[in-house]
Amino acid sequence: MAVNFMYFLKESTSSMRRNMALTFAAIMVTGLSLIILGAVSMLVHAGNGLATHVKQRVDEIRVFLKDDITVEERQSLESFIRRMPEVRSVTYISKEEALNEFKKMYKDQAEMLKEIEGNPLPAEFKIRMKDPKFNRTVASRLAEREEISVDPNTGRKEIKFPEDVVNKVLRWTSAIQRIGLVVVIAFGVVAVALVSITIRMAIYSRRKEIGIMKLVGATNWFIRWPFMMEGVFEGFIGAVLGIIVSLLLYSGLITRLEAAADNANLVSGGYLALLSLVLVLIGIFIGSAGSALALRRYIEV
Amino acid sequence: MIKFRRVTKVYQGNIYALDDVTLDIGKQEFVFLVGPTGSGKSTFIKLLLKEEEPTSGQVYIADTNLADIKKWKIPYLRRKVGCVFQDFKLLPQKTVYENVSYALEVTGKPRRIIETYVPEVLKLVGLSHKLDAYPDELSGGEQQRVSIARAFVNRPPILLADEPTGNIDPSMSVTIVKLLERINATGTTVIMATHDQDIVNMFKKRVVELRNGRIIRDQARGVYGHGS
Ligand SMILES: Nc1ncnc2c1ncn2[C@@H]1O[C@H](COP(=O)(O)OP(=O)(O)O)[C@@H](O)[C@H]1O
Ligand SMILES: [Mg+2]
Repeated sequence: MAVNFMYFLKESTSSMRRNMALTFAAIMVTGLSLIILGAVSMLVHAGNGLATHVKQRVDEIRVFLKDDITVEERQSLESFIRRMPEVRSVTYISKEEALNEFKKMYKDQAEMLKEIEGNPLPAEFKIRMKDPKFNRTVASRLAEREEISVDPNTGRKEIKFPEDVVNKVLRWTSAIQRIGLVVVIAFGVVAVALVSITIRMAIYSRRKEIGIMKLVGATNWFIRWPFMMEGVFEGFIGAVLGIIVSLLLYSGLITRLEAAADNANLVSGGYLALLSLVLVLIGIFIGSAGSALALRRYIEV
Repeated sequence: MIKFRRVTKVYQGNIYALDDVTLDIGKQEFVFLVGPTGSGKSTFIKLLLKEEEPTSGQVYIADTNLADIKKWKIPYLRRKVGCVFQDFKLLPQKTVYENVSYALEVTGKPRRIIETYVPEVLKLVGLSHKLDAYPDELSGGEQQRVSIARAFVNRPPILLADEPTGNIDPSMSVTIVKLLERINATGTTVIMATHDQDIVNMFKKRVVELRNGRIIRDQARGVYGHGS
Protein backbone atom coordinates (compact mmCIF):
# COMPACT_ATOMS: atom_id res chain seq x y z
CA MET A 1 0.00 0.00 0.00
CA ALA A 2 2.76 2.40 0.97
CA VAL A 3 4.61 1.75 -2.24
CA ASN A 4 1.42 2.22 -4.21
CA PHE A 5 0.56 5.52 -2.62
CA MET A 6 4.04 6.88 -3.34
CA TYR A 7 3.72 5.65 -6.89
CA PHE A 8 0.41 7.46 -7.44
CA LEU A 9 1.67 10.63 -5.80
CA LYS A 10 4.79 10.66 -7.96
CA GLU A 11 2.78 10.10 -11.13
CA SER A 12 0.23 12.83 -10.32
CA THR A 13 2.69 15.54 -9.40
CA SER A 14 5.05 14.96 -12.32
CA SER A 15 2.14 15.08 -14.73
CA MET A 16 0.89 18.33 -13.21
CA ARG A 17 4.29 19.91 -13.61
CA ARG A 18 4.20 19.08 -17.30
CA ASN A 19 0.88 20.89 -17.84
CA MET A 20 1.66 23.80 -15.56
CA ALA A 21 -0.34 26.55 -17.29
CA LEU A 22 -3.48 24.51 -17.76
CA THR A 23 -3.34 23.10 -14.27
CA PHE A 24 -2.97 26.64 -12.96
CA ALA A 25 -6.03 27.77 -14.92
CA ALA A 26 -8.09 24.84 -13.69
CA ILE A 27 -7.11 25.50 -10.09
CA MET A 28 -7.84 29.21 -10.44
CA VAL A 29 -11.31 28.72 -11.87
CA THR A 30 -12.15 26.03 -9.33
CA GLY A 31 -10.84 28.40 -6.68
CA LEU A 32 -12.86 31.29 -8.07
CA SER A 33 -16.11 29.34 -8.03
CA LEU A 34 -15.44 28.24 -4.47
CA ILE A 35 -14.44 31.79 -3.45
CA ILE A 36 -17.75 33.07 -4.78
CA LEU A 37 -19.59 30.24 -3.10
CA GLY A 38 -17.82 30.90 0.20
CA ALA A 39 -18.35 34.67 0.04
CA VAL A 40 -22.00 34.45 -0.96
CA SER A 41 -22.78 31.83 1.69
CA MET A 42 -21.12 33.88 4.38
CA LEU A 43 -22.76 37.16 3.34
CA VAL A 44 -26.18 35.58 3.17
CA HIS A 45 -25.65 33.90 6.52
CA ALA A 46 -24.47 37.16 8.08
CA GLY A 47 -27.35 39.09 6.48
CA ASN A 48 -29.90 36.66 7.87
CA GLY A 49 -28.19 36.79 11.26
CA LEU A 50 -28.23 40.56 11.14
CA ALA A 51 -31.93 40.58 10.26
CA THR A 52 -32.94 38.41 13.20
CA HIS A 53 -30.66 40.39 15.43
CA VAL A 54 -32.29 43.64 14.37
CA LYS A 55 -35.75 42.15 14.76
CA GLN A 56 -35.02 41.13 18.32
CA ARG A 57 -33.22 44.23 19.38
CA VAL A 58 -34.61 47.30 17.76
CA ASP A 59 -37.21 49.00 19.88
CA GLU A 60 -37.90 52.02 17.73
CA ILE A 61 -40.84 52.76 15.47
CA ARG A 62 -41.22 55.81 13.26
CA VAL A 63 -44.46 57.61 12.53
CA PHE A 64 -44.73 60.14 9.72
CA LEU A 65 -46.85 63.24 10.03
CA LYS A 66 -49.15 64.98 7.62
CA ASP A 67 -47.64 68.16 6.16
CA ASP A 68 -50.60 70.34 6.99
CA ILE A 69 -50.96 69.83 10.75
CA THR A 70 -50.55 72.71 13.20
CA VAL A 71 -47.94 72.94 15.91
CA GLU A 72 -50.66 72.40 18.50
CA GLU A 73 -51.87 69.24 16.82
CA ARG A 74 -48.29 67.99 16.70
CA GLN A 75 -47.68 68.78 20.34
CA SER A 76 -50.90 67.12 21.35
CA LEU A 77 -49.83 63.96 19.53
CA GLU A 78 -46.41 64.11 21.18
CA SER A 79 -47.86 64.35 24.67
CA PHE A 80 -50.34 61.57 23.81
CA ILE A 81 -47.32 59.39 22.99
CA ARG A 82 -45.33 60.44 26.01
CA ARG A 83 -48.16 59.46 28.33
CA MET A 84 -48.00 55.84 27.22
CA PRO A 85 -46.25 53.68 29.84
CA GLU A 86 -44.52 51.52 27.19
CA VAL A 87 -42.69 54.48 25.68
CA ARG A 88 -39.20 55.32 26.80
CA SER A 89 -38.53 58.41 24.67
CA VAL A 90 -39.82 60.41 21.72
CA THR A 91 -37.73 62.39 19.24
CA TYR A 92 -39.24 64.88 16.80
CA ILE A 93 -37.59 65.34 13.42
CA SER A 94 -38.90 68.25 11.41
CA LYS A 95 -39.22 68.31 7.64
CA GLU A 96 -36.05 70.42 7.40
CA GLU A 97 -34.04 68.09 9.61
CA ALA A 98 -35.30 65.12 7.64
CA LEU A 99 -34.20 66.76 4.37
CA ASN A 100 -30.80 67.68 5.77
CA GLU A 101 -30.27 64.15 6.97
CA PHE A 102 -31.34 62.81 3.59
CA LYS A 103 -28.91 65.15 1.80
CA LYS A 104 -26.12 64.12 4.11
CA MET A 105 -26.81 60.47 3.49
CA TYR A 106 -26.82 60.85 -0.29
CA LYS A 107 -24.17 63.52 -0.63
CA ASP A 108 -22.30 61.41 -3.21
CA GLN A 109 -25.30 61.41 -5.52
CA ALA A 110 -25.52 65.07 -6.50
CA GLU A 111 -27.59 64.23 -9.60
CA MET A 112 -30.31 62.67 -7.56
CA LEU A 113 -30.34 65.54 -5.06
CA LYS A 114 -30.76 68.05 -7.87
CA GLU A 115 -34.00 66.34 -8.85
CA ILE A 116 -35.59 67.09 -5.50
CA GLU A 117 -37.97 70.00 -5.62
CA GLY A 118 -38.98 71.70 -2.40
CA ASN A 119 -39.13 69.26 0.52
CA PRO A 120 -41.00 66.06 -0.18
CA LEU A 121 -39.96 64.52 3.13
CA PRO A 122 -42.47 64.34 5.97
CA ALA A 123 -41.79 65.28 9.59
CA GLU A 124 -41.63 62.30 11.90
CA PHE A 125 -41.57 61.04 15.47
CA LYS A 126 -39.02 58.41 16.44
CA ILE A 127 -40.54 56.51 19.32
CA ARG A 128 -38.38 54.21 21.44
CA MET A 129 -40.05 51.56 23.54
CA LYS A 130 -38.98 50.20 26.88
CA ASP A 131 -39.00 46.82 25.12
CA PRO A 132 -39.29 45.86 21.43
CA LYS A 133 -42.39 43.78 22.24
CA PHE A 134 -44.39 47.01 22.72
CA ASN A 135 -43.83 48.14 19.11
CA ARG A 136 -47.15 46.79 17.89
CA THR A 137 -49.30 47.90 20.82
CA VAL A 138 -48.13 51.46 20.60
CA ALA A 139 -48.52 51.50 16.84
CA SER A 140 -52.09 50.24 17.00
CA ARG A 141 -53.02 53.03 19.38
CA LEU A 142 -51.43 55.57 17.05
CA ALA A 143 -53.33 54.28 14.04
CA GLU A 144 -56.38 56.18 15.30
CA ARG A 145 -54.66 59.57 15.22
CA GLU A 146 -55.56 62.07 12.50
CA GLU A 147 -52.16 63.79 12.56
CA ILE A 148 -50.36 60.84 11.07
CA SER A 149 -50.12 60.69 7.28
CA VAL A 150 -51.61 57.91 5.19
CA ASP A 151 -49.59 55.85 2.77
CA PRO A 152 -51.27 56.44 -0.62
CA ASN A 153 -50.34 52.94 -1.77
CA THR A 154 -51.76 50.96 1.11
CA GLY A 155 -54.26 53.37 2.57
CA ARG A 156 -52.82 52.73 6.02
CA LYS A 157 -51.11 55.06 8.47
CA GLU A 158 -47.44 55.59 7.77
CA ILE A 159 -45.84 53.84 10.69
CA LYS A 160 -42.50 52.14 10.07
CA PHE A 161 -41.40 49.15 12.11
CA PRO A 162 -37.81 47.85 12.35
CA GLU A 163 -39.17 44.73 10.62
CA ASP A 164 -39.56 46.80 7.48
CA VAL A 165 -35.83 47.37 7.39
CA VAL A 166 -35.25 43.76 8.24
CA ASN A 167 -37.46 42.59 5.42
CA LYS A 168 -35.53 44.79 3.07
CA VAL A 169 -32.28 43.16 4.24
CA LEU A 170 -33.85 39.76 3.82
CA ARG A 171 -34.97 40.59 0.29
CA TRP A 172 -31.40 41.60 -0.47
CA THR A 173 -29.89 38.46 1.00
CA SER A 174 -32.27 36.22 -0.89
CA ALA A 175 -31.46 38.08 -4.12
CA ILE A 176 -27.74 37.68 -3.44
CA GLN A 177 -28.38 34.04 -2.69
CA ARG A 178 -30.19 33.43 -5.95
CA ILE A 179 -27.75 35.32 -8.16
CA GLY A 180 -24.82 33.81 -6.27
CA LEU A 181 -26.15 30.31 -6.81
CA VAL A 182 -26.44 30.85 -10.56
CA VAL A 183 -22.93 32.32 -10.78
CA VAL A 184 -21.48 29.53 -8.65
CA ILE A 185 -23.10 26.84 -10.77
CA ALA A 186 -21.87 28.50 -13.97
CA PHE A 187 -18.33 28.78 -12.64
CA GLY A 188 -18.55 25.26 -11.26
CA VAL A 189 -19.40 23.89 -14.69
CA VAL A 190 -16.50 25.78 -16.27
CA ALA A 191 -14.22 24.48 -13.51
CA VAL A 192 -15.25 20.87 -14.18
CA ALA A 193 -14.63 21.42 -17.89
CA LEU A 194 -11.18 22.91 -17.26
CA VAL A 195 -10.14 20.13 -14.92
CA SER A 196 -11.38 17.69 -17.51
CA ILE A 197 -9.20 19.36 -20.16
CA THR A 198 -6.08 19.23 -17.98
CA ILE A 199 -6.67 15.56 -17.31
CA ARG A 200 -7.27 14.92 -20.99
CA MET A 201 -3.94 16.62 -21.76
CA ALA A 202 -2.25 14.56 -19.09
CA ILE A 203 -3.70 11.38 -20.57
CA TYR A 204 -2.64 12.44 -24.04
CA SER A 205 0.93 13.25 -23.03
CA ARG A 206 1.18 9.84 -21.39
CA ARG A 207 -0.66 7.75 -23.96
CA LYS A 208 2.43 5.70 -24.78
CA GLU A 209 2.95 4.92 -21.13
CA ILE A 210 -0.71 4.01 -20.74
CA GLY A 211 -0.37 1.60 -23.66
CA ILE A 212 2.60 -0.04 -21.98
CA MET A 213 0.77 -0.20 -18.67
CA LYS A 214 -2.09 -2.02 -20.34
CA LEU A 215 0.40 -4.33 -22.00
CA VAL A 216 2.01 -5.38 -18.73
CA GLY A 217 -1.39 -5.98 -17.15
CA ALA A 218 -2.25 -2.84 -15.20
CA THR A 219 -5.92 -2.70 -14.35
CA ASN A 220 -7.91 0.22 -15.65
CA TRP A 221 -8.34 1.52 -12.13
CA PHE A 222 -4.63 1.45 -11.56
CA ILE A 223 -4.14 3.47 -14.73
CA ARG A 224 -6.91 5.88 -13.80
CA TRP A 225 -5.90 6.52 -10.20
CA PRO A 226 -3.10 9.04 -10.80
CA PHE A 227 -5.35 11.04 -13.12
CA MET A 228 -8.18 10.89 -10.64
CA MET A 229 -5.87 12.10 -7.90
CA GLU A 230 -4.59 14.88 -10.10
CA GLY A 231 -8.14 16.17 -10.58
CA VAL A 232 -9.00 15.81 -6.91
CA PHE A 233 -5.82 17.63 -5.99
CA GLU A 234 -6.70 20.53 -8.29
CA GLY A 235 -10.15 20.72 -6.73
CA PHE A 236 -8.66 20.59 -3.26
CA ILE A 237 -6.26 23.47 -3.91
CA GLY A 238 -9.19 25.42 -5.33
CA ALA A 239 -11.08 24.75 -2.10
CA VAL A 240 -8.14 25.97 -0.04
CA LEU A 241 -8.21 29.23 -2.03
CA GLY A 242 -11.93 29.51 -1.37
CA ILE A 243 -11.41 28.97 2.36
CA ILE A 244 -8.59 31.51 2.57
CA VAL A 245 -10.65 34.21 0.85
CA SER A 246 -13.70 33.38 2.97
CA LEU A 247 -11.64 33.77 6.12
CA LEU A 248 -10.20 37.06 4.87
CA LEU A 249 -13.73 38.24 4.16
CA TYR A 250 -14.72 37.17 7.65
CA SER A 251 -11.94 39.04 9.39
CA GLY A 252 -12.14 42.07 7.10
CA LEU A 253 -15.88 42.58 6.78
CA ILE A 254 -18.02 40.36 8.95
CA THR A 255 -16.18 41.14 12.17
CA ARG A 256 -16.69 44.83 11.48
CA LEU A 257 -20.34 44.25 10.76
CA GLU A 258 -20.59 42.37 14.04
CA ALA A 259 -18.93 45.23 15.88
CA ALA A 260 -21.40 47.65 14.31
CA ALA A 261 -24.32 45.46 15.39
CA ASP A 262 -23.48 45.64 19.12
CA ASN A 263 -21.04 42.72 18.88
CA ALA A 264 -23.69 40.31 17.71
CA ASN A 265 -22.28 36.91 16.74
CA LEU A 266 -23.42 36.84 13.13
CA VAL A 267 -21.02 34.14 11.85
CA SER A 268 -19.88 31.57 14.38
CA GLY A 269 -16.71 29.49 14.42
CA GLY A 270 -18.86 26.44 13.86
CA TYR A 271 -20.29 28.00 10.72
CA LEU A 272 -16.79 28.77 9.42
CA ALA A 273 -15.72 25.18 10.03
CA LEU A 274 -18.80 23.83 8.28
CA LEU A 275 -18.32 26.21 5.36
CA SER A 276 -14.68 25.11 5.00
CA LEU A 277 -15.70 21.46 5.02
CA VAL A 278 -18.37 22.07 2.40
CA LEU A 279 -15.90 23.98 0.20
CA VAL A 280 -13.40 21.13 0.41
CA LEU A 281 -16.07 18.56 -0.44
CA ILE A 282 -17.32 20.57 -3.39
CA GLY A 283 -13.73 21.17 -4.57
CA ILE A 284 -13.06 17.45 -4.46
CA PHE A 285 -16.34 16.84 -6.26
CA ILE A 286 -15.41 19.30 -9.03
CA GLY A 287 -11.98 17.68 -9.37
CA SER A 288 -13.22 14.13 -9.49
CA ALA A 289 -16.09 14.98 -11.82
CA GLY A 290 -13.61 16.63 -14.23
CA SER A 291 -11.27 13.63 -14.08
CA ALA A 292 -14.07 11.13 -14.43
CA LEU A 293 -15.33 12.95 -17.49
CA ALA A 294 -11.90 12.84 -19.13
CA LEU A 295 -11.23 9.25 -18.11
CA ARG A 296 -14.57 7.93 -19.24
CA ARG A 297 -13.82 9.11 -22.74
CA TYR A 298 -10.13 8.48 -23.06
CA ILE A 299 -9.33 5.37 -21.07
CA GLU A 300 -12.04 2.96 -21.92
CA VAL A 301 -12.65 0.03 -19.66
CA MET B 1 -1.90 -24.70 -23.25
CA ILE B 2 -2.97 -22.77 -26.33
CA LYS B 3 -5.70 -23.89 -28.71
CA PHE B 4 -6.96 -22.22 -31.88
CA ARG B 5 -10.18 -23.71 -33.19
CA ARG B 6 -11.18 -22.72 -36.73
CA VAL B 7 -10.15 -19.13 -36.02
CA THR B 8 -10.85 -16.55 -38.69
CA LYS B 9 -10.09 -12.89 -38.32
CA VAL B 10 -11.45 -10.51 -40.91
CA TYR B 11 -10.45 -6.87 -40.69
CA GLN B 12 -12.42 -4.03 -42.14
CA GLY B 13 -12.16 -4.07 -45.91
CA ASN B 14 -12.69 -7.85 -46.08
CA ILE B 15 -9.06 -8.56 -45.22
CA TYR B 16 -8.66 -12.16 -44.04
CA ALA B 17 -5.73 -11.80 -41.64
CA LEU B 18 -6.34 -15.32 -40.31
CA ASP B 19 -8.36 -17.86 -42.22
CA ASP B 20 -9.68 -21.01 -40.52
CA VAL B 21 -6.68 -21.57 -38.26
CA THR B 22 -6.72 -24.64 -36.01
CA LEU B 23 -3.66 -25.28 -33.89
CA ASP B 24 -2.53 -26.75 -30.54
CA ILE B 25 0.54 -25.59 -28.66
CA GLY B 26 1.50 -27.60 -25.58
CA LYS B 27 2.96 -26.48 -22.31
CA GLN B 28 6.68 -25.67 -22.50
CA GLU B 29 6.74 -25.70 -26.29
CA PHE B 30 8.83 -23.27 -28.29
CA VAL B 31 7.18 -22.35 -31.59
CA PHE B 32 8.41 -20.22 -34.48
CA LEU B 33 5.53 -18.58 -36.28
CA VAL B 34 6.87 -17.77 -39.73
CA GLY B 35 5.61 -16.24 -42.93
CA PRO B 36 6.06 -13.13 -45.02
CA THR B 37 4.83 -9.70 -43.94
CA GLY B 38 1.06 -9.57 -43.97
CA SER B 39 0.61 -13.31 -43.50
CA GLY B 40 -1.18 -12.85 -40.15
CA LYS B 41 1.53 -13.43 -37.51
CA SER B 42 0.83 -10.25 -35.52
CA THR B 43 -2.89 -10.90 -35.67
CA PHE B 44 -2.27 -14.36 -34.20
CA ILE B 45 -0.44 -12.74 -31.28
CA LYS B 46 -3.05 -10.01 -30.81
CA LEU B 47 -5.76 -12.63 -30.48
CA LEU B 48 -3.80 -14.28 -27.65
CA LEU B 49 -3.51 -10.92 -25.87
CA LYS B 50 -7.21 -10.26 -26.49
CA GLU B 51 -6.24 -7.05 -28.25
CA GLU B 52 -8.42 -8.29 -31.10
CA GLU B 53 -11.40 -10.65 -31.11
CA PRO B 54 -11.73 -13.48 -33.65
CA THR B 55 -14.43 -12.97 -36.27
CA SER B 56 -15.28 -16.65 -35.88
CA GLY B 57 -13.78 -19.63 -34.07
CA GLN B 58 -12.34 -19.86 -30.56
CA VAL B 59 -9.02 -19.17 -28.92
CA TYR B 60 -8.25 -21.01 -25.66
CA ILE B 61 -5.52 -20.48 -23.13
CA ALA B 62 -5.35 -23.22 -20.48
CA ASP B 63 -8.86 -24.33 -21.46
CA THR B 64 -10.35 -20.88 -21.01
CA ASN B 65 -12.09 -19.49 -24.06
CA LEU B 66 -10.77 -15.94 -24.34
CA ALA B 67 -14.20 -14.83 -25.56
CA ASP B 68 -15.47 -15.63 -22.05
CA ILE B 69 -12.99 -13.31 -20.35
CA LYS B 70 -14.73 -10.11 -19.31
CA LYS B 71 -13.20 -6.85 -20.42
CA TRP B 72 -12.22 -5.81 -16.90
CA LYS B 73 -10.37 -9.12 -16.47
CA ILE B 74 -8.12 -8.60 -19.51
CA PRO B 75 -5.34 -7.12 -17.34
CA TYR B 76 -5.15 -10.39 -15.43
CA LEU B 77 -4.84 -12.27 -18.71
CA ARG B 78 -1.98 -9.97 -19.76
CA ARG B 79 -0.12 -10.79 -16.55
CA LYS B 80 -0.14 -14.45 -17.60
CA VAL B 81 0.91 -13.72 -21.17
CA GLY B 82 4.18 -11.81 -21.38
CA CYS B 83 4.87 -10.02 -24.61
CA VAL B 84 7.86 -8.62 -26.49
CA PHE B 85 7.76 -6.45 -29.60
CA GLN B 86 10.03 -5.41 -32.43
CA ASP B 87 10.10 -1.82 -31.12
CA PHE B 88 10.82 -2.79 -27.45
CA LYS B 89 8.18 -0.40 -26.07
CA LEU B 90 10.41 0.84 -23.24
CA LEU B 91 9.75 4.08 -21.40
CA PRO B 92 12.56 6.47 -22.33
CA GLN B 93 12.45 8.47 -19.10
CA LYS B 94 12.84 5.40 -16.90
CA THR B 95 16.04 3.50 -16.20
CA VAL B 96 16.53 -0.16 -17.03
CA TYR B 97 15.69 -1.10 -13.45
CA GLU B 98 12.60 1.12 -13.39
CA ASN B 99 11.35 -0.15 -16.73
CA VAL B 100 11.30 -3.66 -15.32
CA SER B 101 10.11 -2.84 -11.80
CA TYR B 102 7.32 -0.88 -13.45
CA ALA B 103 5.65 -4.08 -14.64
CA LEU B 104 5.46 -5.25 -11.03
CA GLU B 105 4.41 -1.91 -9.56
CA VAL B 106 1.64 -1.73 -12.07
CA THR B 107 0.26 -5.06 -10.92
CA GLY B 108 0.43 -3.91 -7.31
CA LYS B 109 3.25 -6.19 -6.13
CA PRO B 110 4.77 -5.36 -2.72
CA ARG B 111 8.12 -3.65 -2.60
CA ARG B 112 9.94 -6.67 -1.15
CA ILE B 113 8.94 -8.83 -4.11
CA ILE B 114 9.94 -6.10 -6.54
CA GLU B 115 13.35 -5.71 -4.91
CA THR B 116 14.07 -9.42 -5.24
CA TYR B 117 12.57 -10.18 -8.63
CA VAL B 118 13.91 -7.27 -10.65
CA PRO B 119 17.66 -7.77 -10.03
CA GLU B 120 17.14 -11.49 -10.52
CA VAL B 121 15.52 -11.20 -13.91
CA LEU B 122 18.00 -8.53 -15.05
CA LYS B 123 20.78 -10.90 -14.10
CA LEU B 124 19.09 -13.60 -16.19
CA VAL B 125 19.16 -11.35 -19.28
CA GLY B 126 22.72 -10.28 -18.52
CA LEU B 127 22.15 -6.62 -17.72
CA SER B 128 23.07 -6.52 -14.03
CA HIS B 129 25.71 -3.92 -14.82
CA LYS B 130 23.30 -1.52 -16.56
CA LEU B 131 20.55 -1.10 -13.99
CA ASP B 132 20.76 2.69 -14.00
CA ALA B 133 21.19 3.20 -17.72
CA TYR B 134 18.41 4.76 -19.80
CA PRO B 135 17.05 2.96 -22.90
CA ASP B 136 18.66 5.38 -25.37
CA GLU B 137 22.08 4.58 -23.85
CA LEU B 138 21.65 0.92 -24.80
CA SER B 139 22.13 -1.02 -28.04
CA GLY B 140 19.05 -2.51 -29.71
CA GLY B 141 19.95 -5.95 -28.41
CA GLU B 142 20.28 -4.66 -24.86
CA GLN B 143 16.96 -2.82 -25.10
CA GLN B 144 15.27 -5.99 -26.29
CA ARG B 145 16.75 -7.85 -23.31
CA VAL B 146 15.25 -5.23 -20.98
CA SER B 147 11.94 -5.72 -22.73
CA ILE B 148 12.23 -9.51 -22.29
CA ALA B 149 13.09 -9.02 -18.62
CA ARG B 150 9.99 -6.89 -18.20
CA ALA B 151 7.80 -9.48 -19.94
CA PHE B 152 9.25 -12.31 -17.85
CA VAL B 153 9.45 -10.68 -14.43
CA ASN B 154 5.83 -11.65 -13.72
CA ARG B 155 6.76 -15.30 -14.44
CA PRO B 156 4.03 -15.68 -17.07
CA PRO B 157 3.26 -19.22 -18.28
CA ILE B 158 3.28 -17.89 -21.85
CA LEU B 159 5.71 -15.52 -23.56
CA LEU B 160 4.88 -14.06 -26.96
CA ALA B 161 7.50 -12.36 -29.12
CA ASP B 162 6.49 -10.49 -32.27
CA GLU B 163 9.56 -10.14 -34.49
CA PRO B 164 11.82 -9.55 -31.47
CA THR B 165 14.91 -9.58 -33.66
CA GLY B 166 13.49 -7.31 -36.34
CA ASN B 167 15.49 -4.26 -35.24
CA ILE B 168 18.62 -6.04 -34.10
CA ASP B 169 21.81 -7.00 -35.86
CA PRO B 170 22.18 -10.75 -36.59
CA SER B 171 24.78 -11.60 -33.96
CA MET B 172 22.68 -10.05 -31.20
CA SER B 173 19.61 -11.79 -32.60
CA VAL B 174 21.09 -15.14 -31.72
CA THR B 175 21.61 -13.99 -28.12
CA ILE B 176 18.01 -12.86 -27.92
CA VAL B 177 16.64 -16.15 -29.15
CA LYS B 178 18.97 -18.05 -26.83
CA LEU B 179 17.51 -16.01 -24.03
CA LEU B 180 14.00 -16.96 -25.10
CA GLU B 181 15.18 -20.57 -25.19
CA ARG B 182 16.38 -20.31 -21.59
CA ILE B 183 13.07 -18.81 -20.54
CA ASN B 184 11.34 -21.67 -22.36
CA ALA B 185 13.51 -24.09 -20.37
CA THR B 186 12.05 -22.71 -17.11
CA GLY B 187 8.65 -24.01 -18.23
CA THR B 188 7.29 -21.05 -20.13
CA THR B 189 5.58 -21.59 -23.46
CA VAL B 190 7.26 -19.37 -26.06
CA ILE B 191 5.80 -18.31 -29.39
CA MET B 192 8.05 -16.21 -31.58
CA ALA B 193 6.75 -14.63 -34.77
CA THR B 194 9.58 -13.96 -37.21
CA HIS B 195 10.60 -13.93 -40.81
CA ASP B 196 14.27 -14.27 -39.97
CA GLN B 197 15.26 -17.43 -41.89
CA ASP B 198 18.72 -17.91 -40.39
CA ILE B 199 17.42 -17.81 -36.84
CA VAL B 200 14.69 -20.34 -37.55
CA ASN B 201 17.04 -22.65 -39.34
CA MET B 202 19.62 -22.43 -36.56
CA PHE B 203 17.37 -23.32 -33.59
CA LYS B 204 15.43 -26.23 -35.08
CA LYS B 205 12.19 -25.73 -33.18
CA ARG B 206 8.61 -26.39 -34.13
CA VAL B 207 7.74 -24.19 -37.11
CA VAL B 208 4.22 -23.04 -38.01
CA GLU B 209 4.12 -21.31 -41.34
CA LEU B 210 1.37 -18.88 -42.31
CA ARG B 211 0.53 -17.65 -45.78
CA ASN B 212 -2.38 -15.29 -46.38
CA GLY B 213 -3.75 -16.16 -42.99
CA ARG B 214 -3.71 -19.93 -43.50
CA ILE B 215 -1.40 -22.48 -41.90
CA ILE B 216 0.47 -24.06 -44.77
CA ARG B 217 2.96 -26.03 -42.68
CA ASP B 218 3.33 -27.23 -39.09
CA GLN B 219 6.57 -29.10 -38.56
CA ALA B 220 8.43 -30.26 -35.47
CA ARG B 221 12.15 -29.37 -35.46
CA GLY B 222 11.63 -27.55 -38.72
CA VAL B 223 13.46 -25.01 -40.82
CA TYR B 224 12.16 -21.81 -42.42
CA GLY B 225 11.23 -23.61 -45.62
CA HIS B 226 12.08 -23.20 -49.25
CA GLY B 227 8.84 -22.11 -50.79
CA SER B 228 9.39 -18.47 -49.92
N1 LIG C 1 -6.07 -3.20 -37.61
C1 LIG C 1 -6.10 -3.65 -38.88
N2 LIG C 1 -7.05 -3.20 -39.71
C2 LIG C 1 -7.10 -3.63 -41.00
N3 LIG C 1 -6.23 -4.51 -41.51
C3 LIG C 1 -5.26 -4.99 -40.72
C4 LIG C 1 -5.14 -4.57 -39.36
N4 LIG C 1 -4.08 -5.22 -38.81
C5 LIG C 1 -3.58 -5.99 -39.78
N5 LIG C 1 -4.26 -5.88 -40.92
C6 LIG C 1 -4.03 -6.58 -42.16
O1 LIG C 1 -4.14 -7.97 -41.87
C7 LIG C 1 -3.16 -8.69 -42.59
C8 LIG C 1 -2.28 -9.47 -41.58
O2 LIG C 1 -1.49 -8.56 -40.85
P1 LIG C 1 -0.53 -8.99 -39.68
O3 LIG C 1 -1.29 -9.87 -38.76
O4 LIG C 1 0.02 -7.74 -39.10
O5 LIG C 1 0.58 -9.82 -40.41
P2 LIG C 1 2.13 -9.98 -40.12
O6 LIG C 1 2.37 -9.68 -38.69
O7 LIG C 1 2.42 -11.38 -40.50
O8 LIG C 1 2.85 -9.01 -41.01
C9 LIG C 1 -2.39 -7.69 -43.41
O9 LIG C 1 -2.95 -7.67 -44.70
C10 LIG C 1 -2.65 -6.38 -42.72
O10 LIG C 1 -2.60 -5.31 -43.63
MG1 LIG D 1 3.67 -8.29 -37.83
